[in-house]
Amino acid sequence: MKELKELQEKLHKERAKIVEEAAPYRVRYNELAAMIAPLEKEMREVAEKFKAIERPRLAEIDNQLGPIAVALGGKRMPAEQPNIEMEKE
Amino acid sequence: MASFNKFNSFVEALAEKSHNLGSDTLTVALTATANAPVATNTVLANLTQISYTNLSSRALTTSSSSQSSGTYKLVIADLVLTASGGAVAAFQYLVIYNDTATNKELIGWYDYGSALTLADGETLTLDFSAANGMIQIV
Repeated sequence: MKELKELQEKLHKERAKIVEEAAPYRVRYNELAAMIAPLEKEMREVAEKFKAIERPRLAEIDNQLGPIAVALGGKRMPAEQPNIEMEKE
Repeated sequence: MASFNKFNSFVEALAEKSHNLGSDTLTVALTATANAPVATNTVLANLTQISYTNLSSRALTTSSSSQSSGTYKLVIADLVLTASGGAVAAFQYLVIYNDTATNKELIGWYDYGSALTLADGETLTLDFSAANGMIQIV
């Protein structure tokens, strides 16, 4: 029991030391994230603007141009759809 | 049917915010038979691309990027590659990468199966599934 307590205390101290050493970099990381947030927000807003213009008509046009190109004698490569699975618990 | 081959780094890049598949510009790069991509490639600079002289736009059009019942699907419209003004250099591999991402991170690639040269006026249509999408994440 005494050994376990001593090990526990030692690990807590080591843990605290690691957290303390990394802390300034975590603080700076979060500061940078906060600085970037307004730009990311603007990016999302700008993206919504071009999506509103493009979708769905641009894709509809492209999906017509594809079969037309093939019907006119062009080559075609059907693309298999993959699954990227996250491990389920 | 050309199989999609995933670059190993893609899943980590996705998890670590390198990709916004719904908004970023996804683009096709082409490589010759002698320069096949490998799963350990990570960024566009790892590839030896062909010359794109005489080739039309390689930018993909996103139809939709959304989830339903926890399954995400990225649907990409067909892309017609057209040779105009002359032939396009021979290629075999079609690589999908993120042209907006910081390092132009790679996503996956398709193997046409043999070297293809598009003569002036010829086309190749990349026919992505409208129902199943180019990528699903479950």
